[in-house]
Amino acid sequence: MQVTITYLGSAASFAGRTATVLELRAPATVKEILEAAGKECGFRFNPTAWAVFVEGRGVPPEDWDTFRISEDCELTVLPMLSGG
Amino acid sequence: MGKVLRVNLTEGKVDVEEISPRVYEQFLGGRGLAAFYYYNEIGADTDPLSPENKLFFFTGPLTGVRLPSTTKFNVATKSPQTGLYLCSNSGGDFGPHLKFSGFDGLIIEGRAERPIFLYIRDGQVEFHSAEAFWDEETGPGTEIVKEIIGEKRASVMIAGKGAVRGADIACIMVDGRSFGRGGAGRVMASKNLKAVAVWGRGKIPLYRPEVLAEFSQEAMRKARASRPVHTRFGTAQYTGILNELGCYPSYNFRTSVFDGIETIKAEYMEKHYKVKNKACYYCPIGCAQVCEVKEGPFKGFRSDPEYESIGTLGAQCGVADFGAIIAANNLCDEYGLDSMSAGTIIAYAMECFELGLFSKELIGRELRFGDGEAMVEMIRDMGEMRGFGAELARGFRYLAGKYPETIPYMMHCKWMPFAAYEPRGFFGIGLSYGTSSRGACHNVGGWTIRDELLSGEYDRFAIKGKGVLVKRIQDTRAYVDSLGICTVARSAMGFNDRPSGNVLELVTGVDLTPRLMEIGERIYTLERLILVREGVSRKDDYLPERIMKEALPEGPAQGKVLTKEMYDEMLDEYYAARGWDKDGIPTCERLQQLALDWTGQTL
Repeated sequence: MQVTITYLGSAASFAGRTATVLELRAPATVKEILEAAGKECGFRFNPTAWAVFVEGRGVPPEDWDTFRISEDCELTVLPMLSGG
Repeated sequence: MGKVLRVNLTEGKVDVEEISPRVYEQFLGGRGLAAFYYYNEIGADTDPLSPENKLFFFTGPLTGVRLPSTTKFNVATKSPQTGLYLCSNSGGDFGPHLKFSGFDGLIIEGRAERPIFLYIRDGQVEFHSAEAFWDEETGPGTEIVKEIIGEKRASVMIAGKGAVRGADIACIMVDGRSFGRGGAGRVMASKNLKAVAVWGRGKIPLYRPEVLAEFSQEAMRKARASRPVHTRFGTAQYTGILNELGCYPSYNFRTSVFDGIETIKAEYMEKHYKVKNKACYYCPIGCAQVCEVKEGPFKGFRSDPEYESIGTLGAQCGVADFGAIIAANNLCDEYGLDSMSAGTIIAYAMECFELGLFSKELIGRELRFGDGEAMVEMIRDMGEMRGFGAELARGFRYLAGKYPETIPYMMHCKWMPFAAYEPRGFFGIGLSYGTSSRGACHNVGGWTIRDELLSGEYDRFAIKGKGVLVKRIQDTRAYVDSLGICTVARSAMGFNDRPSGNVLELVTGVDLTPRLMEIGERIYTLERLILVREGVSRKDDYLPERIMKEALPEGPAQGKVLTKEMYDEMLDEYYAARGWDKDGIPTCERLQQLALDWTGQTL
């Protein structure tokens, strides 16, 4: 399956890019997708500092290793927002 | 520790009082204690600028302890800007040093005959004349204080030129941080009190210091690892994200996509202006981004603008020149003005000018959206309290009385100007603004952005569930503000809406962790009782017509509007969750449940 990853806001500065497309075997968990993305861009996205949408819906960090994706989708990575 | 320093400026008298353990158990510290004292000592009719108003400063049980970002202390007073209860918190070193001096709290009452400043040193209080530098700006004024007392390491909280000249939006600056909102600086100046300096060499007693030291090491590591974006970009990180989501308020909330975003984003700030990071007391994150303008009309200006200042002085005013934002933010700090109020009020004035409601003759210049130089000059006029600037610096409550035809363009709740979050882009933040204890505020009212966007449980454009969400976030923040820690670092110590861990017990010997959310709810409800006593009810919990009638014109949130019907549904859910009646008054039953029936306020 194809996962299009968008790095939103400051996430792009850490990833060194604004978007990427990964080819992955389905199904894959959010955690596995982020590990693949991390290898690709050279930056590890840990769950305390980063947040994820899948198709526009937030996936909380405690669900990253259970939330499975089985078909092409869009995943957005952004900073874990913590007040401003 | 349990000691409060009460200084009566009229009589030149100093007393030390004790706080009972029962009060600590009910209200924790910081914001909770400040609300408790305010409830008991400030009447509904107290004039904010009279000697009868007081400033209640309180630290929390964790302030000054060697844990991540234990920098915070709180103030409660009656606001000259809104005419209502004000709570505010500040970073800097003052809170820790007040504790090192032997005090959990400081109460200022009365009015000195002549301008003075106070110096608190290891339990003793000195009174010094401030006549020679009464009109001084906050930076030079702080240096003068330190020179006079002969202690460069002292922490100083100070009212600036804006406060002493009568700006109702004047803040109290504290070591470069501030009690920003609501005019606490003006209250201080009304008492002829220019500054308070503190230096303490005592130690905070700890229950289990060795175990705490181990916990602290791990908490510092966690805090640093969980906030790399705050370290690199500060709160400015939200600017680009919110604009991409189509909810970055711009041009006085006329739209929510800023056409000048590329030159005010965090990445642009980092590349062209950032000089270094600055950290508050014992903070491993260091989120303040010190910036300097190296060229152009604002060359030499230096400040550390937060997301809010960038939003209100930048996008709200249509200003895309980051140098102008740095300059305006610097001037706000030096004059001692709330940058959020200043920016939102100038944006209102810009719109009124463009609509022909304010003339060039009245303002003293043309004041158009996007004109950074005019915006900066307006800040100078507000700080100097001259010309039309003197009127703008009085705030919306004053301006509404003088220019009632401009009320539709005032973005406020309970006279507190909006923050830089768009209620039509996050419906929950609209409810936060409307129900905040100090008027439109995303901190006290509840920062719903993360939950509405990231938790997966909410749709930011949905109504259901937002009342319960806002209550939960408000209660969490109320106890966090009472602990004496910064909200950015709190998760590293287990302080969220399901608080866990035992750090409170390690520090104090009392494990209040299981009761923290209940304490937060008690504090929030007491604050509401104060507001009710001051005349507030449901009618005051609404948003401006622009939010309730004008749809967003562009971007991902195009067409969104938060109508009165939708808002009423959220508000009803909120009141029900809080155990308040349909008019927003806490019920007897809820007061009993929260052990607040001693307040004697019944339906």
